Amino acid sequence: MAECGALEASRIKQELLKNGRIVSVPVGKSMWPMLRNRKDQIVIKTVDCPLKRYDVPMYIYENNTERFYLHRIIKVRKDGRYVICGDNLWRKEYDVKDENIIGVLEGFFRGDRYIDCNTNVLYHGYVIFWRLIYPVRCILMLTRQYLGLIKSKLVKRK
Amino acid sequence: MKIKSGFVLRNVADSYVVVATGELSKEFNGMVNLNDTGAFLWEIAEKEIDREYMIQALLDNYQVTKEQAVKDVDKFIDIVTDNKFIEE
Repeated sequence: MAECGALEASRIKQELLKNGRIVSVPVGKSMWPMLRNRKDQIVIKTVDCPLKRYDVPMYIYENNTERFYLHRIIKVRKDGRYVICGDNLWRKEYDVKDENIIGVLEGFFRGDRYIDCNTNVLYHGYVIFWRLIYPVRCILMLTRQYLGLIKSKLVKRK
Repeated sequence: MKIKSGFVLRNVADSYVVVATGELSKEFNGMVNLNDTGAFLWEIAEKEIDREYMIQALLDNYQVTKEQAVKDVDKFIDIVTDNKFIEE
């Protein structure tokens, strides 16, 4: 999962309240290829307007308030809850509420280049393309997972 | 002596922030907020920490007195040393 591991959860909240913005590094591969593990730098700002499809919120799980996660909204439900999925995940989360969200990805540094999530045309192209090929990615990811399972079982037998 | 490689200085919304990346991010949790002078000194320190050179650079680029420049540079060096941001 793309956790915001470089800052502790409580510190993230404090910094966001104080400055309205934090810079951190993503931990994990769930937002790959957009965000590379511990390599790119993410800029998170406080949420100041209703979130929409394809925004990337920072949120917590109710049963684990120690860590924040960063995944993409793929649908806003009629009841206002969000369906969320990491760019490199196939499993969706269906029950993320506004109160779980503490910030939203404003942009990120990839190398020395800053990519603004609101204005960068290439970024928007990537998001649409990546969502379009979701079914294909699902098949590939599940196949890889299944093959990995078979492989581990074969290794165990030996 | 210089700043450890892996730290990156970023200018976000007119503020300067330093974060650790890669393996270094496992060791350093958090971000460092810098003012304009701090960011200027950080950029120099990424190449080499040379007290006299940094003082002169501050005098050449900012309207500060020698005393203030010495104070700022010493404070900066203390902070990066105490927080183990530097390597040989």
